[in-house]
Amino acid sequence: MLLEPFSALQNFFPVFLAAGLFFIGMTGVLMRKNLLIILMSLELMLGAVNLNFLSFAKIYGFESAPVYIFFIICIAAAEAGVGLALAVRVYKKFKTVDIEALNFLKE
Amino acid sequence: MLLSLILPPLIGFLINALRFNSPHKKLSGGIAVSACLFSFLTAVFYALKSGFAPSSFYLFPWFKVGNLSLNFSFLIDSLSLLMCLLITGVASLIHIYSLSYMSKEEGLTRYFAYLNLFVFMMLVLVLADSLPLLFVGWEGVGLCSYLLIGFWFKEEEKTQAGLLAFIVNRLGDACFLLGIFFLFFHLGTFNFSEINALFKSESYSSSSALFLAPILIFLGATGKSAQIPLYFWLPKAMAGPTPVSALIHAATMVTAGVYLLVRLSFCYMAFPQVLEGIAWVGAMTALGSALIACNSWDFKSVLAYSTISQLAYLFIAIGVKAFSASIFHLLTHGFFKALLFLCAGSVIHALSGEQDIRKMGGLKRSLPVTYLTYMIGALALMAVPPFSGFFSKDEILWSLFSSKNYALFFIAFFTGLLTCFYMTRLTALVFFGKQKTKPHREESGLNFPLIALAVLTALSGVLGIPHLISDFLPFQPPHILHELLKDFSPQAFKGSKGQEALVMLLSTATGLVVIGGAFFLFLTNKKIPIPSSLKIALESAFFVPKGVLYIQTLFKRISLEAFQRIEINFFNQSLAFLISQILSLKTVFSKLQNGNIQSYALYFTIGLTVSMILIFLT
Repeated sequence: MLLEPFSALQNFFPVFLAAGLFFIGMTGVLMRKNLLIILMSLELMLGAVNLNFLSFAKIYGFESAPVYIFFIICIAAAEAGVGLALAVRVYKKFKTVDIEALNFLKE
Repeated sequence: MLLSLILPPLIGFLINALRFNSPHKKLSGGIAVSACLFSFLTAVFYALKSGFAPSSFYLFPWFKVGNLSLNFSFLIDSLSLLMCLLITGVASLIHIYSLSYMSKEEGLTRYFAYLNLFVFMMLVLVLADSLPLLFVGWEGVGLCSYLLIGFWFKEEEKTQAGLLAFIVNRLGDACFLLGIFFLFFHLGTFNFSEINALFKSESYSSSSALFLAPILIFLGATGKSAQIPLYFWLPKAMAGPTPVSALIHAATMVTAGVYLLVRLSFCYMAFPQVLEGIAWVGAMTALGSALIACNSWDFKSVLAYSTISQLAYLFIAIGVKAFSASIFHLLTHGFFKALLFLCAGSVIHALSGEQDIRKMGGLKRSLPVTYLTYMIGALALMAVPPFSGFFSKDEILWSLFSSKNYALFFIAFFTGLLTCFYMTRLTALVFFGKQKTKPHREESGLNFPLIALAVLTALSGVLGIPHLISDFLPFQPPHILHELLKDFSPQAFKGSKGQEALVMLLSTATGLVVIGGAFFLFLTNKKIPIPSSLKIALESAFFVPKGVLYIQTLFKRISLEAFQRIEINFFNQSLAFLISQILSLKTVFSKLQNGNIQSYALYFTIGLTVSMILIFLT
């Protein structure tokens, strides 16, 4: 099989996937200029963390992990609500969602 | 017991320092005076109870470094108890004097707080049983001196004078500290009794490196006691209030150097060459400052140079191992110079701040109490019997003569004549002759300390009546100071009675002749035809002070300007370099803080990553 040499790592594939997702999200947060896309990237990072948590829980046999996952999903949803509301307020006030224009704290 | 001696001034200082803005100004003087008097009474009580027996008090451990552990402990023996009595006694009187002298000042509470702190630090200095603890007091009195010279900090000249005193003392202190380290390096102890015991039991003169320690410590003493080469700060220090000049810059603090040398007497006796150097430095200082005093027109400045000259006598006496004579003159000088300064304060007060003696005159009648007490002080300074100065100065002269240091004896003798000359000049110009300025009335509050000090000045000679005189007296009083200070100067000065009488009579008689001549000269004020040759001689004599003044500026140049050079070239430039570096860093860091949220998030990520990597690596 093609993946034979990596069979020892088989259980860790979801972890690598989570790491990839996390880096994609992080790059989005750090690079994109649109506030909405940054919020989406944040959600991606949260999802990556969830996946990471779940896969480690499966590897080490941690049964009650899904409970925590639901907690995180709840909080992520709340955070998305607050974040989107903030984004709407920002747009109404400044007529833009470009993060580079929002640098009033400079000096 | 010890705590009630040493703590009241500290408590007084703390109270006054905490309430320095309080509107009840009168109260601060009461607090300060009672604190000081309490200490004085304790000292008197202790002296009577213990009979000057040595004892030591351990308070608490101070610090522990390696195998050195240092305690906060004090030593009371005859020397430190005598110093305590002098300090607290004179300080109490000067506190009382300040009550009315300074009553109209704005910063009265601050003044009394500083004064109390000074007394506390001085007590720490004289009671310390180890060099580091003494150094604490040493620095403390230096600080108080600086604060009190610059008491009127709104006038730039006075703050400058305070700074000068502080910086010059700093130079001396640096030497002193090096000397302490040298001693410790070679002896392994800071404790006075252990140091003296080591020097008593072994001979150290062969080891050349230790030779530096007494020299460096002496340099420190020259800074505090205003001797060549670090003496020029003292006349400037007269910018402070007059009671401060009396207490700090005449009676107590400036004698700290002498006290230190006597405390380490066995260390100094191991190095006769160093002692000889000390004696010659003292002789030069005595002569030079007496000459300047002859040519000065400022009341306090004359007294300041006279102080330097008298302190130099103490060093000459130490130089010939006459430690008890030195302490004797220290005590009597403390009394009469404090008295003279307080009289000067009364005169200046009565003339609303006038200090130039050319504008004074004929104050004898309008200031009777000041005049009488001043005369006692001046006669004591001029060593006229039976006042105290006569006994102490005669003892120094006799110890010089009997130890066969004839050159030193001659210089000290001649300086004594100069002392008679300038003091007579001062007296004649201020109290006799025509009245030039109308004085205010004497304040009764100023008179009590003057009278008390005058009594002390007149009577403190009984501490050391020479055998030559006491043999004739009915109950043959012993030489009290010799008995008390036996441990510090084992050497007795012996010579034939005829010589002793000759020295005594010669110095007294010539002194009286000079006093009479100078009095005549200044009172008649050139109405008598002075022979032209004498006039030329006198005028040429006045060139000498100018030369001395030139040397003084030279000293100032060398020590202060060298210091300034170092400061400008090294400290300022290295500091400027450091500042420019910091400024260039500023531009880098301000670029980092650009207000963009995403770059902040980037820093956060980088920081987190780096710390994660570090955690995994370790």
